[in-house]
Amino acid sequence: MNGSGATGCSPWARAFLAVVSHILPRESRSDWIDAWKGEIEAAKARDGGQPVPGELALLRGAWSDALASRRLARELADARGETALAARHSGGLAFELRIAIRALLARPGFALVAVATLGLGVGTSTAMFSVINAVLLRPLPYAEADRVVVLRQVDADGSVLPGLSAANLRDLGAEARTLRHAALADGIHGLKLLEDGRASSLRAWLVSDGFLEALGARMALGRAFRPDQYQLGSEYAVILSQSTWETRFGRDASVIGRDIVLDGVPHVVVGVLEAGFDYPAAAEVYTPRPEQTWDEAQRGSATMDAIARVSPGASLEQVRAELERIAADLEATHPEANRGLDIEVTPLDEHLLGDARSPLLLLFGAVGLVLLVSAANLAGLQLARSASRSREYAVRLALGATSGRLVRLAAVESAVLAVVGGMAGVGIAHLGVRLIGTLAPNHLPRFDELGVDVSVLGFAVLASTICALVAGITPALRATRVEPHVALSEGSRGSTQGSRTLGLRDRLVIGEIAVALVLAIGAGLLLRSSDRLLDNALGFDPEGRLALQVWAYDEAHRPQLDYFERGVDRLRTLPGVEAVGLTSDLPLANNELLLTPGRRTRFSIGSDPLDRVGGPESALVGIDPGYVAAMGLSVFDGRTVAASDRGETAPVALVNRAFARRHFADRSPVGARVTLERDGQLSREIVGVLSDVRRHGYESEPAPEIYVPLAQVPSNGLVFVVKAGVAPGSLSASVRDALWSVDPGQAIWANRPMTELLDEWLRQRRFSTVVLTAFAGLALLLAAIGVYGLVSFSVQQRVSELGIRRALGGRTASIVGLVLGRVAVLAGTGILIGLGGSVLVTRLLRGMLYGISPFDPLTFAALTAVVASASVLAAALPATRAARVDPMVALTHSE
Amino acid sequence: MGDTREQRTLSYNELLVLQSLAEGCRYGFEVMSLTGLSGGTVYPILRRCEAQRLVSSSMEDADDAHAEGRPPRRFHTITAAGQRALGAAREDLIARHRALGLIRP
Repeated sequence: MNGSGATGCSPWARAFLAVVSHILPRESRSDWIDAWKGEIEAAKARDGGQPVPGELALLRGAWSDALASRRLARELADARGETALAARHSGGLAFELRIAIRALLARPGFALVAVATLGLGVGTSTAMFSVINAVLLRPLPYAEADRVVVLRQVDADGSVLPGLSAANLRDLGAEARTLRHAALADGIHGLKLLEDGRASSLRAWLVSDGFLEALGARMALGRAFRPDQYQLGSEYAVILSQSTWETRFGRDASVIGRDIVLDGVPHVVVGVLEAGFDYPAAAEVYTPRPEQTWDEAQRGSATMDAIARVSPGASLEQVRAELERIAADLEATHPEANRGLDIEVTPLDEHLLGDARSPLLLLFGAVGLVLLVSAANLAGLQLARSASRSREYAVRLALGATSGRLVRLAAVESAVLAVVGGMAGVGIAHLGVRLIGTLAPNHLPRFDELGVDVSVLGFAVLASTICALVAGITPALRATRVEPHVALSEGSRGSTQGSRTLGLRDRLVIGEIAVALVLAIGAGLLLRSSDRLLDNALGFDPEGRLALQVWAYDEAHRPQLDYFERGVDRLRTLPGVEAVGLTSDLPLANNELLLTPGRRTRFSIGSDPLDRVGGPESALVGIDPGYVAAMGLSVFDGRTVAASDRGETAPVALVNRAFARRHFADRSPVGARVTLERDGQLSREIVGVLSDVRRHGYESEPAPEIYVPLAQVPSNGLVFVVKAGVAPGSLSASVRDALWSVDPGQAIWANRPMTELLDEWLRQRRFSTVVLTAFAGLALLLAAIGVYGLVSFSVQQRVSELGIRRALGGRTASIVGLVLGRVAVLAGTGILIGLGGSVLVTRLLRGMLYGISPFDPLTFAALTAVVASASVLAAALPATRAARVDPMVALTHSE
Repeated sequence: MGDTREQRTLSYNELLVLQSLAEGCRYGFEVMSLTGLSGGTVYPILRRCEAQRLVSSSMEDADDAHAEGRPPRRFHTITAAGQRALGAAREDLIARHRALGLIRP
């Protein structure tokens, strides 16, 4: 016997054992290493007899031993686990859940595509639903909001005016039994609030007695106005909106009862409104509007936002009937101002949504189609999977599983998919909501409240569950109807699959292609409309221009023309400023960013007498000498406003080309005279013709306009147009400071690049277009995945058939043709159905289209081509794979 | 469970391993020497047969090992079930060899 030193195992053998032992469970490692050292040393110590294997051969044994031990340990653990699991939950849900998760994990590719499909469908539809939910479904934040109605005057020619006149509303409110709290809000005003000696504006609505009550306004702090505060000559009072209280007063509760100085007059703060109260729009403060002496004289101008609350028990029809009678009475008593008076009654929510409702519902319909496509895709996937699992089902049935149990297993599997897909969907929805938030038109009410809430989550859960269950159980039901011996023999042959399964998949793919085409054509029509629209010249270039609105008036509310003129002079000296102009009414302005008085006037031409009721009407815009250059307009005839046109010099006016076309036909209007309503007997000489502008964005047509010098027709709220040689946004601070340096006491109301104003006009359209295009793209992608899946599946099912064809000399081209031919039939059918559907559906888009027919042949043709080629492309990949099938592999293929 | 495994027919290599244990081999390397099989074959077979209770193993007495100046080794012995399986497999093998004419009666 040799000494231990000579027979010990070598250091590298020890190292090898130490390393290899790591594939074993930790607790058995050291025993295993010891045993192997013993084995090696015992072998070395052995003398004579049989030849002993060398250390290397033994270490190889050690390696195999370790592998085998590990495998056995795992099998044992699995067996124990499943036995225990089965014992605990025999037939129970947890057991099925575990089996389902395993089955899904066993095919990660399927699971991934299924979850992605479901997630995309559920995510986009949930994002869209959250928009619908925020805008359409959630009740307005007013008490019994469904009883609040908006009243608007309808003119003899059928045009709906912004509201009612104060006098008509007062008389109507006194008469009507079916309405309570008929009240008005008088145009949004800027009230000057001085902070640190510098003025800023608060947007204020003057509201008449009953307005807050009609909306059921609830106060977060303090109370509403007392009735006596609505009387002329009473103390000035103000109610703050929640956000004003937060941003301007730092949520200071002691503000109630305090005086704040607005427009130089102390107003006592009586209350703070609850969050969410924001009617008519964008209010920062509300002040009481007493009846005014001039109300009666203004009876004919229906400019006040009028609302009322329907009396308990009265129906909308009764309100309408009563108002019809009252309107007739008002017309009888004031025939001049109320000629042809009619009053329209609109529920508040309908009024707030206005034109937004139908595009939103349309988009929701579109997203419903996307969801449908993803459900169809999922069903197709499941069908494919169940076809390849029909053997598994058959074995289970043959082994005595009931078909009910198989359906339940499928349902559990679908539920797992639904949960995971739904979670992915909620994540996608979350992103989608943020995306939509950046795109959405800001005039949609309550868009800021957009988010994923309980009802949105509920929708996501519902959508994904229905999708997954329908898509999952159908194939299982189908599979369990198959006789086991048929499925077993069929499945083992790898021959053409049962035609019924593929028939359903075919129909699903046809449907997907059809839906994708409908969405694509809809999106295409919107895109082409946008193109057409942007081809329209605005008549000016908003690029590189800054707009600031300033309200400058003295205590008697007289406009401060001098301030504006000094402001223009000051701004011209700023570096980076190329031109500065002033106007009373800036194109593209809207009430949320800039106020648009939108002044209009009746006028007469030449010696015609002025008809103050039925005479021709035109927009009236005041401008200064710099305006035309600052806006980049051109003078077609005559001249523009000159510095020499002052209040004391001869009154002049300019017109635009649309005006000249309408009222002067081919003659030049220069030198003619025009009499404006506001001028009394005075008439003005027309001295020039300006180019047309599309004042209300691309969609508006240039309307006749009369321009007058601001020096002759002053206004207290004017817009500075600053043409910048640099990025206009970079100038806004220096421009503001320059104006403050002229007079810190004049409130700068808004300060924005004009391109932002343009964006506001384009947003609604852009929103619908971008969202629908995204939906169409998604549907097309899903349909392509559907085609790809169908073709690669059927190719796989037909491997041996294709192999035989190849073996018999079928050429690659003919085999590809065989596969593509089928896709062509499917795509062709889908496209035909899609074209038919598009003809039915695109008419819904009519209101959103511009300069294009809903049946535009070019759009139809182009997108048909897109969808067709997408289908072919999706089919081409698996088809070429089919062509490369090796006959030997194909004929021995048995899975 | 045990029944089905006992009735499993042994592979040729398993038969050789079990037979060498029946002949008195106790270590894997002795089985390798006697059968001419590699370590990569012998040890997994030992493990598998052990899992199927055809073979049992135990660690050598630590004192004995220390007396010889080495770590304790793992001993393998064939169980009664192993003997039965071996017997059945041996008869099957002999019958086949006879049928093939490898063994003359």
